[in-house]
Amino acid sequence: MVSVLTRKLLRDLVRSRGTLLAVTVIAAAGSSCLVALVSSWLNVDRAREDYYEAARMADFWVDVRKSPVEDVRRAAARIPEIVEVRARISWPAVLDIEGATAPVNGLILSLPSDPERALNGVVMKSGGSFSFGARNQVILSDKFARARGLRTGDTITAVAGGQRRSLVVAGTADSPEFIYLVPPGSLSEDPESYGVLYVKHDFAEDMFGFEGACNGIVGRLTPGGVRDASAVLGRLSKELAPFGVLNAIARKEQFSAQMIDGELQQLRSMAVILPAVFFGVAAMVLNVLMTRLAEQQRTVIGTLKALGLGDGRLSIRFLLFGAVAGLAGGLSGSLAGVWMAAGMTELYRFYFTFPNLSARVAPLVIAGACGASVLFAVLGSLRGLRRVLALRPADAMRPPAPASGRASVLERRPALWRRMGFRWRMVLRGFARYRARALIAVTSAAFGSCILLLAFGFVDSIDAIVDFQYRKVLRSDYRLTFGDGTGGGALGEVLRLPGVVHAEPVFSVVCTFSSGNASKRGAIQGIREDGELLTPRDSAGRIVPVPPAGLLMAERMAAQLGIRAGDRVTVTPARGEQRPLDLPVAHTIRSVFGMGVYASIDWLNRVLGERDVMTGAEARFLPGADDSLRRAFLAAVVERPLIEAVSDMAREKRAMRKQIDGALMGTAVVMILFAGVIFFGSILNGTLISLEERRREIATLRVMGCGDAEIGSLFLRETLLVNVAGTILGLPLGLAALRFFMTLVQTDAFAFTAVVRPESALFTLLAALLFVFACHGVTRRVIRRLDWRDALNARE
Amino acid sequence: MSIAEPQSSEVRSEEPFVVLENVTRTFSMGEVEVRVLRGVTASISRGRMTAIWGESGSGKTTLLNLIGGIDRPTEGRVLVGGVNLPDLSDRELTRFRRDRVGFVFQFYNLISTLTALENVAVAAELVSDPMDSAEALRLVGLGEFGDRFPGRLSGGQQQRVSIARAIAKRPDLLLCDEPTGALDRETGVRVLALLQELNEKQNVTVVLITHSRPVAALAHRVLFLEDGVVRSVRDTEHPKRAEDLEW
Repeated sequence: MVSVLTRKLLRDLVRSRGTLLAVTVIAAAGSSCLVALVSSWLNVDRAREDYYEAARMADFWVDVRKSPVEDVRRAAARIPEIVEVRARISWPAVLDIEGATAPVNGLILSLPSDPERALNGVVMKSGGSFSFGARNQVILSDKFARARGLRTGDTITAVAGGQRRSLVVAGTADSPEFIYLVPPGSLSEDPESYGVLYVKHDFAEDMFGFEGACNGIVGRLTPGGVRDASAVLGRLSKELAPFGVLNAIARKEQFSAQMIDGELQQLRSMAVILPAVFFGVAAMVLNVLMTRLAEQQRTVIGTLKALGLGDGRLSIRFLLFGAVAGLAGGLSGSLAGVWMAAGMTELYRFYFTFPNLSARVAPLVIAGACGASVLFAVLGSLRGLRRVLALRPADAMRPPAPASGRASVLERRPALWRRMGFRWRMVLRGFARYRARALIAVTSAAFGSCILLLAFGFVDSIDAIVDFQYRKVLRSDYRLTFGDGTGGGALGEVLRLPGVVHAEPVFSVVCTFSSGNASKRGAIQGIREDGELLTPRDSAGRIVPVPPAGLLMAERMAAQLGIRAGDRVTVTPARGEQRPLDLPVAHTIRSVFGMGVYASIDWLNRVLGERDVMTGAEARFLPGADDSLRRAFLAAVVERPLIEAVSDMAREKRAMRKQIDGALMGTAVVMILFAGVIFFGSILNGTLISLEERRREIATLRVMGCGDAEIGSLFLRETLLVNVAGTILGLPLGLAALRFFMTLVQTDAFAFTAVVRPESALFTLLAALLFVFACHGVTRRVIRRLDWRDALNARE
Repeated sequence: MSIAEPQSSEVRSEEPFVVLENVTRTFSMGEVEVRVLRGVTASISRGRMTAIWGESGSGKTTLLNLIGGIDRPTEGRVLVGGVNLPDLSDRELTRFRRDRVGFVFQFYNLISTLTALENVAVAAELVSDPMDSAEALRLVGLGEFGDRFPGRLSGGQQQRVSIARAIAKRPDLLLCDEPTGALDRETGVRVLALLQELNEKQNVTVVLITHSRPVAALAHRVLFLEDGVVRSVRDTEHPKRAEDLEW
């Protein structure tokens, strides 16, 4: 049997369904975010850990110059924290694909004959593993094979290390090392133009002349070693120093692992921030509703108290009212969250290659989302409850003191005030009367605006990075990478390639930079002082000329080394005698991808004791060239054993844009919808409460001859004012949030700067106005259907 | 049904300004239909004060709402200045109220966020040739109280502001629904005297709803309403003065 009080509660809920729906929708948005983000985080994290464990992901990577395998093993064995190592050979390759108009590059990696059990092993996706006896077999990274339509038994031609070899596809596979695979120097995947080619170790030895040698090791560490990986790698680097260490990184610095870590970190932060914003707004909106409810039902509450209903039971009934909205939001949001989690997992499956990434949603996550939603709803009801408890039965049964008008602060400026019509005066005095309510409406709008600006800002920031990297800094059409270093004559060879109209040499030297106790591995790019194709820029986007002597160093690297322009830095190059050099830092520059360090190519050659050495070239192609010229260019490139890799800058830019348009635009749309939920929920809740409170006022105005539109304009003014104010206040909040998220994704590999175009601030304002006017449509409808005649003769 | 015959001999023949012809009004309350007006036929003359008198539930307010164009009859005609209100669209009815009618309510219905003067100005701003708002306030004796908010005025003062608001539009018809219902006797008399004065000096047609027989005695014509029909009509050329009222 349902008690009378429960029946009352249910009737009150039905009566307030409009305003409760607004709160429920906002809480549902919070719950859906919580469920989707936490589930995606748990799913990706679990899939990653399982994958790393099953495929024996390495704990560290060290790239060395050609070194004897046994010596490298012995050096590693001297480090007690290293429990296992595997020597391997890696080499960039250009694939000769007939008729291709864009370059196809690959990374050749050697694997032992039992590749599935090896450290950094592979998980076969199709075909078979290496067969005994056959030498020139290749296992292709699965995504690349699928993108290029390559199948088991097909033959491909790879040009690497001056060799041209035909390889027979044995199968396709994934590896935990390349869950997110991008071409070197890029941030976006492009499976059609870049893949991994796993070959047998002995075949690689033979192909590159590496009998008994390797140019890299991967290894596993003891748990203590993992915790102290940088110290262990420091010691290992010292042991391997005689062989020339090019790079030594722990798992957390490995590109693919770093990208997944960054994604997980973003998911974690979003999973806290976004639901907190929604639940916070829901609590604020509910606060208005519950305070109003306490006021509206004061006589009923007073009567119940007079009849002997205790504060405890009254409190429970009152809080239950709010909690029902919270629970409804929690449950409906969780359902939406399950659907969103499936969508997000699908997106992760598209960009990350996990063998087992399932869209699971743990019941505990749903329980947590519902719990959080109810908790915030209860918190939002507390102010109303305090009013209920403070009400004495005798006072409660008397009608409340008539609402008194209150002068607005603007009235202190009579000249301005006199110019205002009565509608504006009503609106402004209404704010003065209900300050808390106006503040809540402004705050909600500020949160909505913050989310809108975040959505637009993400797109702007990525756009700015693409623009900075591919229009301002890298201005070449093709980047050609040679081997270890070649004489200046190679530039002439590049200039003779079909379609190349201009080329500039690049001398890239892997080095360790150190200053005081700080040390950082990186590379110096030697470029022409008067070069046009690679133009370093400062943080304002201005070109920083390459000085005749001294380094241009990325701000982030300088900061990590604790140095500034004008200071000196110790540079130990990983080539030649590896003698430390004391070099000046002439200027700092902005670097978005990697931590670029530039110098004059002539000066770099001089300080290294070299002459006219170059390791690559930037080339400008004939503007408006057709596909046949590009095909001829690529055909000529694969004929030049000197060229180890060729990157198409326009394609890289397109790949990045495609990725942005896909994932980022999707996210932006979802965020705009979420902002809409906040605006709609807050505005509708506020307006419906206001309409209920002001029925008499509306009725009076109607009787006096005001139409729907004139009365609606009163509410529109009110909504416009708080929401425009809130939206403007939300802009700096959004910028701060954008900066925060950008620092979250910042690593050594790339740095995003928060950029918001002025148009985006305008779009935020326009979107907010759109939401306001859309809500106004609903308000007008409610006003039209309002039975105002009843309110005319009611006592206030 | 024909227009109820006047019972008094003090009859002045005038062109009727408001004519009600066989007006019925039925409200649906769920499955129950309540017939509040059951064929009212009556007329109200221009420039006169008319009282609609009856007990609670007799249909007085419903009738006033029909005359003021804020409700439509279920059947019958409501002619004001020759225009049949039920024939007008919602928009035209809004226009009619705006241009021709002033309302005074039992509970004043002032807008609490506007001062007394602004409450009057709200109405004045709606029409093309309004009375000066301050002048309207002065007419009701509240010239000094223009900047006060309703919450800081007594009930009588609030009702006077409400009357000032109604007359500021220079309406053809001033409809007052129990204007003294929430006031004490003394204040009530002042408000009624004001209405009487407006009727006499400004020539405003006043329709007054009351359940009080003495108050009804202020009017030139009294329509006695009972169970939704006009039971009697009493006309007089010399209604009582508000100051002489006793109730």
